[in-house]
Amino acid sequence: MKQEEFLNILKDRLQVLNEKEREDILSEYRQHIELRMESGLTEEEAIRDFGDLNELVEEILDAYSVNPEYGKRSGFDPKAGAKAAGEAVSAGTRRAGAFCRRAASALKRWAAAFFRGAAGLAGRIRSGAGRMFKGIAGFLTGRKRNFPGAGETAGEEAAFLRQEERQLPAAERVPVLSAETASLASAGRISAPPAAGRNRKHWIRSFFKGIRSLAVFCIQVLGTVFVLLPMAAVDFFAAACFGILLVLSLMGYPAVGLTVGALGGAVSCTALIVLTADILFAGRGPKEKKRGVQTDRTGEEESGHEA
Amino acid sequence: MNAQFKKGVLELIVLLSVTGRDMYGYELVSEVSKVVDVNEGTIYPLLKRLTNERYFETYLRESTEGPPRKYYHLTAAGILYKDQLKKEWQEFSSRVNGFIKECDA
Repeated sequence: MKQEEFLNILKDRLQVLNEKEREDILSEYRQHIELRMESGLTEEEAIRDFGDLNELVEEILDAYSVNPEYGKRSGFDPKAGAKAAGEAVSAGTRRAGAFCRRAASALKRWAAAFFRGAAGLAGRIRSGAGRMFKGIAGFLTGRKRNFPGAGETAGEEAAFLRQEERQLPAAERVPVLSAETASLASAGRISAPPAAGRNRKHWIRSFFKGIRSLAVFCIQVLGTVFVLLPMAAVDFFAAACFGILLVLSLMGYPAVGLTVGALGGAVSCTALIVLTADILFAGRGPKEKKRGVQTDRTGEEESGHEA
Repeated sequence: MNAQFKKGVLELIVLLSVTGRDMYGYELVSEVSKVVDVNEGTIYPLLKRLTNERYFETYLRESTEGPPRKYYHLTAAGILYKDQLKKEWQEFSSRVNGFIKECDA
């Protein structure tokens, strides 16, 4: 082997070292070979004296505590490695993209459901408040139309009318317009035409209906927040404890009793939640519809009698 | 000659060679080769390691016969290490010799 060839191989195999160190080593060897040649040896002999090149490289790397296996090309193909890495990256990005798409569509569905529920809530609040305010407005305009010189406070008027309202449920099925007008006349307030009086009653009734539905709604909200949600949290906690204790019992810890207790707690919490929800949200749907129909019928009966 | 014997004692011989005066690489390798016959290429890695471990300091000095030469100088830590190795070798070799005498007797 020639000197330059030997030194180039060394340079190649010592790439893990930094430039300065590599040059240092190479210059030492170069000088050694030169001086050997000066003292009579041929180039070939001087290099042969170094022995096995692989062992030499291993010893040099060992002096720097570098892994002697570093840089050995056996079984390592950079191009194949790069291609495999590229494929792994693209597969990973594809899977990540699919996951993101699924998560986005799931989020959209939940958001839609949430907003629908919120819209329902808003609708109920609005209808309740709307009826209440419509009642106040109608009542006020009715009042002003019929009694321009009104001196009574709205509170007194409302109290008086509440009495009327209490009489109403007992006499709902029977048209009692004449009796009511008579009682109103006895209080000295009537000169209103029957139509206007009926309007006022209608507004008053819707006013109180509005108050009642608002109150029901408030009870439902409060009940959910203060009763249902804590119970749901306790329920989840009990279910989680049940799961953990089940695993522990299966692993051999003496926790069977606690497991059964946790299961019982979870089941009873669920039952309580269902019961409370039934109580809080009862009266929706069929019952309300019935009451609405009755009211309409009473209204129709009254107008029929008036006519 | 057993390679392990030579390998074991090489460090001590290198350190002893530089005790008297600073030497450059080729000179040092020649001195060590007089005492123990090793592959010269393996001495340079050993010099590198001892330099990295701060037992040697190196400096360049201009030479009349070619490129500047790197000289190796023994540091204080190197002197302490050399003395320790010398002591260990003397203890070790006397025990081995004593054992040999026992076995021969």
